Amino acid sequence: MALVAVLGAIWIFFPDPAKDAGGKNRGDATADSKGTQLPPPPAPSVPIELHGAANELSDLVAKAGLTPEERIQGVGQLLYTYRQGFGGNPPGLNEDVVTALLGVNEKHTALLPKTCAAIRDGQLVDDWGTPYWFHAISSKQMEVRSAGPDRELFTPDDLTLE
Amino acid sequence: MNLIFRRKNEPSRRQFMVQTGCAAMGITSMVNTIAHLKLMQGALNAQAPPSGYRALVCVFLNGGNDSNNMLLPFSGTARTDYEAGRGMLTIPVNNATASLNALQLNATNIAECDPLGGYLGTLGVHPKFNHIKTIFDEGDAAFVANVGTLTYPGVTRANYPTAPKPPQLYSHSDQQVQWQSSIPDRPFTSGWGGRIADLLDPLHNPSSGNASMSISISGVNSFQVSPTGVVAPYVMTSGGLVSLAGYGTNYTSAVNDPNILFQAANYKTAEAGRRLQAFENILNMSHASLMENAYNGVAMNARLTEGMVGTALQGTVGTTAGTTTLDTYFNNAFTGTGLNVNNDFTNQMKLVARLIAGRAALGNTRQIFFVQHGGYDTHIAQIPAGSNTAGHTGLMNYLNCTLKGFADAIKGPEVGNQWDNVTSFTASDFTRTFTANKTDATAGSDHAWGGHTLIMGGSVKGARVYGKFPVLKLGNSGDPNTIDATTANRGLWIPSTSVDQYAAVLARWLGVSDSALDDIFPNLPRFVTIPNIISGNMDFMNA
Repeated sequence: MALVAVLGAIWIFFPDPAKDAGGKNRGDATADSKGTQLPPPPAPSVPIELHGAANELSDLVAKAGLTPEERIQGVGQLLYTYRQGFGGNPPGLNEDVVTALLGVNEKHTALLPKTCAAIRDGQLVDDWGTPYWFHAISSKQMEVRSAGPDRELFTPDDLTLE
Repeated sequence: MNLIFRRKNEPSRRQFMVQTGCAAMGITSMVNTIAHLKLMQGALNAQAPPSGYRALVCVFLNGGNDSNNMLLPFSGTARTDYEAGRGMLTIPVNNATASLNALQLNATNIAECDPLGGYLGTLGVHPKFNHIKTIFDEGDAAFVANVGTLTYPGVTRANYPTAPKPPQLYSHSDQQVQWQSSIPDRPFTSGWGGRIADLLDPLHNPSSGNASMSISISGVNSFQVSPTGVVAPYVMTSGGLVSLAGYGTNYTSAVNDPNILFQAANYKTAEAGRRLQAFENILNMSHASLMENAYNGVAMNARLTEGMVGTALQGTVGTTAGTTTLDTYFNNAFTGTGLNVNNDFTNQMKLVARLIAGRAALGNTRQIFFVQHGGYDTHIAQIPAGSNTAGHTGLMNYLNCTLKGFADAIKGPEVGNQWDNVTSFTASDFTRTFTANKTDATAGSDHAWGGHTLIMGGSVKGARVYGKFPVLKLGNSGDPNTIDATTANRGLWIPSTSVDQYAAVLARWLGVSDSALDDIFPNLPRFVTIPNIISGNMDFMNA
């Protein structure tokens, strides 16, 4: 009871710092202060740094002599590495995934060099030159599909990785 | 007076107290006190006096509904852009086979949702939306165009790479959670339905013996998660009550009348009856430990709600076993379609209609239901040739017939015509890419962002399209109104209306006061100036 009384007194007599700041606890549905938060300023233009393992990661998806299966496994490894560094998969379709892998991300770090041979017209392509198909199931789970030798998605010769 | 400078993202004193209190003491009087303070504050905020019955029905279209073909341009420049961009997924307007053509809407406010002025000619709906078109034209349904998860306004194609955006866009599970929480820029703690329930329940459902205000017919969901746990959702299936295991279907092995709880004379003398009696006797005990009491309370509340829900459903059972009089409305809506009326989604909606019919047994004047229609992740064969039941065609067909059956049931005498008091609305992970992912008949679409929603009910200001329709131009067309988000040029529309704006209008209709809106939707003030939440062509509900 004494603890409750002390905490109650703190609650009543000391205002919420968020209220002092003239804003609401962002995302706190029980905050009692009203106000509008301005969006953060645009991120300053920061040069993109190439990750130390970028060339090694590039080899996983672009090195000559890899089988299609090894190559799609390399895409999985690339996404795994991205998740380790960023907490989730790169969002979006193939072009957006490549954009993030090339360093347009919150850490301005490229996991692939721009010269990666598996990138064509801004998309990551498979053994047959067809862009991989990315299906974001969750932040940690991504289905990757290669259209296979017939270059046609969703046919029996597709290669898939989840 | 702020004695301590907090770094960004550090919890406030209040948050710290709640969190550490919970962590250190579990369910204690301290936490109960805080919870009750919140409830008292909620009751004070919800100043509108209780009046009549109102229910919200969230129809979640799981997988990402391609709303580009649910609501589409029927004529005008937008139609030209639609046909240029949709490829294999184009819904025609003048095909020789009339049943394939979009249905023109008699929308009365096209100019208000027009993004350019003169861009939209007329609008139409999916060919299978004949019932929805009728309900819309009668003034009892409306669409809100291009709604989606947003953290801040002002995202454009130009600033897309650096603008603040919801995390994990285009991911199923993340976008489902964000749609149902409305707070995409914070870790999930509660759903907006759960927060509404926490706020309204003390004032509108004050009786101690009532059922939960939040009922899900489709399992556990994020939408109804309560921030305090005070209004725990009651979860059912389309098959009805989820009874405790081991006592037979609906307790027939254990009791004479499943709708009577805790009555000694009601237990059967068989082993199952004795076991249930012992279990319920334990539930009725008081414990010295608050933790034990709280744990007991969860099971007790579930059992009590089960009894009340059972009673509510009992009142709608028809003369034939397994049928209800309300089923007739759904059967009629499905007549001649070739669709199976006894599918899971339709059965969910039948149960909602029955629970509204039996609302007196539930004891609530405010109710929030959650149902789910699955299968919307249409990456392939979205428009299967010659099929009314498969692909997106089938989904629209089922949705159309089910909502028609539900509307007629709610209007019927068995429910006491609650049409003005029940509002159904759709939500979905996201809409889908405007462009198709293939160039043959097996084409589908991929994950996108902003999309259209449907609202239905007697209180809807219908025959209108709200929000702002997207400009259907792909890529960096030079048109400043192009809202295609990324370099992929697939037609991922940046939402022009946030989930917060959409949900706030529904919340206010249910009874949330203007002063409490940003407690429920903390990001709402970023998009509108409260109380003017209908700005941006969002005045879609009557008071």
